[in-house]
Amino acid sequence: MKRICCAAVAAASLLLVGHLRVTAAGAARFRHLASIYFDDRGVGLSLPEGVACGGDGLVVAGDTGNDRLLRFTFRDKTVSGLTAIKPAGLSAPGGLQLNSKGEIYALDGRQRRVVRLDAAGTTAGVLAFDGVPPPATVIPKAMAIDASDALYVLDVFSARVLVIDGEGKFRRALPVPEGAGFGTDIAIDQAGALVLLDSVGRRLYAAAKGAAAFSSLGGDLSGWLASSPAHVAVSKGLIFVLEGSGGSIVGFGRDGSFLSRPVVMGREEGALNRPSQICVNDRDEVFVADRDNSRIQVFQLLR
Amino acid sequence: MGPRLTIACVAGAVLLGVPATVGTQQNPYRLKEPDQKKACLSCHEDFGRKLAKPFVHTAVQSGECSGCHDPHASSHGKLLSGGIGQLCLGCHAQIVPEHAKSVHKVVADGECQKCHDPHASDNASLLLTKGDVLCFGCHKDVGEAVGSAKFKHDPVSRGCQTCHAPHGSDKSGLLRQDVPALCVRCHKPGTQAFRTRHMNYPVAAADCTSCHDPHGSNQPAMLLNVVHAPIATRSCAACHAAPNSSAPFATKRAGFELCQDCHEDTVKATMAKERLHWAVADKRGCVNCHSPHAARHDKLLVKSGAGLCQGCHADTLARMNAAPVKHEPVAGGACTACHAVHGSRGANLVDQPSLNALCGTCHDYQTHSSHPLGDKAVDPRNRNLRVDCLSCHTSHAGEYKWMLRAATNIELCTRCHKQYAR
Repeated sequence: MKRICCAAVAAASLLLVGHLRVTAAGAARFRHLASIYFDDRGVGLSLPEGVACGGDGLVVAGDTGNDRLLRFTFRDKTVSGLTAIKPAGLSAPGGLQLNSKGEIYALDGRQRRVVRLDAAGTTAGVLAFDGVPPPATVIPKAMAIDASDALYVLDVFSARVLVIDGEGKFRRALPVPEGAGFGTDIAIDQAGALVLLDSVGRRLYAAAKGAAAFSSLGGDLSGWLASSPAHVAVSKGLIFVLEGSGGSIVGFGRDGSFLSRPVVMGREEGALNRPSQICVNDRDEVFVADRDNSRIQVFQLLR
Repeated sequence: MGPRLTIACVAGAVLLGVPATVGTQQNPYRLKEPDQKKACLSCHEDFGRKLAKPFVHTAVQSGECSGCHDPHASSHGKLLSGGIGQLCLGCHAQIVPEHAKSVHKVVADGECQKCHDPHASDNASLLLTKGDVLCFGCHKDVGEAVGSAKFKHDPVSRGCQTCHAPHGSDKSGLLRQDVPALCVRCHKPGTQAFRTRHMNYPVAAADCTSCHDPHGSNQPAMLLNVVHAPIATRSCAACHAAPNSSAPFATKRAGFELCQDCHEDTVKATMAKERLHWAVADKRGCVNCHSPHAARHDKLLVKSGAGLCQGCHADTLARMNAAPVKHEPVAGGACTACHAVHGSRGANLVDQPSLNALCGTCHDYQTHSSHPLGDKAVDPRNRNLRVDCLSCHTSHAGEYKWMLRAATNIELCTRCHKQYAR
C-alpha cells in the first residue's frame, strides 16, 4: 500500500510538472479576430508600416504607401469609425505612438522626423529636439511613450535613445550599448522599463525606469528566430519580436526566455508578411501593421 | 558460503588474472622495428625512391610505418589508423598555439597532406613544393596580385612565412605579430621621413592595412589599389582634426554628414528616398560599407559582393546558401542587381515602380507564362494585393525548381484557385 501511495504521488507530481510546461508553452498565443483592408471609402491600404493603440479601443494606423493615417475604434471584435487622415507635412508615415490624450506621434519616412498631431489628427508641429546634446542631427528610427507621456526616440545617427518629456523638452539620453550591432526598435512597458532590440546582434537590452544605461536581457535570440528581428513590443511581462524578412512574431518572457511563435508567414488571413509594427491594448487585443500584405490584422492575445 | 558463491569467486579471480598473464607475455607476431620497415618495403618497392629524398619524415626514417598505418585493416583510406589531421596532431600537437586567434583552414580541416608529404620530400618541412608556390596554389588572388604588383613589398619576396605562421597564430590573420607591431619592426614611426609621409598624424598605433596593401600594390606607397581622393592628395585634414590636436583622428563631423561635404549629390539623393538603408544613417554611416582611406574593391567597398552585405544580413545569406535553388544574382553574390544600396522608393530597398518592373529588367514574363499579372490581376487571397512574380516564385532562393513556392503545379495553383483543390 505504501508503495502504491508513493507511486501515485510521483505520478501526480509528474502530471503537475507536465501541466506547467504545457501552460508555459501555450502562453502568448494569438487568435485572429479581424483584418482591415480598406478605408471608409473603399480605398485599399498600401504597405502599412505603423500602428498604435490608445485607450478604449482607439487605434491609429500608418497607411505608408498612401501617405496617410487611418483612425478607427475596435470594440466587440468590430471596427467602427474608420476614417482616413492626410495630415499636412507627414509623408510615408512609419512608426506611430499615441499618448494618454490621444495625441499622435508619427515618424515621417521621407523626411525622417517626428511629426506631432493632435487627437483629431491635425498636424501640431514637428519635434524640434531642442536641448539635445550634440550632434544636432537626429535621425529617428523608432519611438515609444511611457505612462507619463514621455516620448522615447531611438536616434540611429548617434546610437542613443532620447527621452523627451510631455512638454517636448529633452530630459536625458541613453546610449545604445557599445557592443550592439544596430538598434532598430524600442518599446516600453507599463512599469517604465525600456526594451531595445538589436537587429544585427539579435539581442534584447533593457533599462529599468530612470536607468542611465541598457543591460543585456536574455541571450542571443538567433536560436528562436528564422530571420533578423526588426521590431519589438512589450505588454504586461511579454515581449514580442517581429522578424524583419519573414512573417513570424516570436514571444519572449520578461527575462528574455522564449515562450511562443504565435503567428507564421503567409498571405492568408491570420498570417503575416513582413510585419512592421505591433501594439497591444489594455484588452489584450493585438494590432499588427502587416506591411507586405497591405492590411492591419487584429488578434486576441491569449496569455 | 554456498557452492554458487564459491564458483563466482573462482571465475572472477580467473578473469582478473588473465590480462595480467597476457600482458606479461611477449606478442609472438610483433615485428621488430627494422623488420617492420623491411616487411613493408618488400611490397612497396617504389617507396625506396622516396626514402632517398633529402627530407624524410622521422617516423618513416625509423621504420615506424605502423605509427600511422594499420598493417591489417582500417576504416580509413590508405590503411591509416585514424583521420589524417588526428594522426598528425598525435605527434605535432604544438603546431597550433593553445589560444589561437586564427587557424589555417587546412589545419582546422585536418588536411595536412595538402601542404606536406607525409613520407618524404625534396623540400624542408616535407612541403609539397618550395616556398610561396604552395601558398599561391590556394591563394590564387594573392599570388596574382603579388606577381602583378608594380610596387612590391620586400618581405613578400622572402616568403609568406616572413609575416604569417602557416598553421595557427595567437594573432588574427595567421600573422606572427599584430598590425602595426609587425610593420613597425621595419618601418620606424619615429623617423622624420615616416612622419612626413603620414602628414604628421600619429599613425604608429593605427591599422596600416586600412590604407596599405602589405602584399604589394600598383599605387605609390603601396596604398590599396582604390584610393580615396583625400588620401591621394594627402588631405587628411579634410576629414580629420589637425595632427597636433588632442584627438587628431577625430572626424570633423559624424556619420554621413562628413561625407556630405564632397558627396553632396549622393547624400541628398539618398536622404530624399522614402526608404533608407539604415546603415547609411547610423553613427558610422558611409564607412559601414566604404573604406574612408583606400580599398581593394571598386567604390572603396570594404568587401566585394554579398560578403559586404553578410556583415549585417548574415541570416538572409545563410538561408540562401542553404537553399538548393538560387536566383542567379544571389548565386553570384550580386545583391545590388535587385536592391538599391543607399535607399529606395519601394519597400525592401527595391527602387523600381513595382516588383514586376524589377523582375522585368531581366525576365520577359510573356515568354514563359500568360497568367494574368500586374495592376489588374487581384490576388484572390487578399484584395489589396496584385498578382506579381512573388505570388508564385520566391525572390532569393527556394526549395523547388524555378524557385516556385510549391513542389507541384497543382499545389501551387490551388493556393489561389482553391476551387480546384482536391
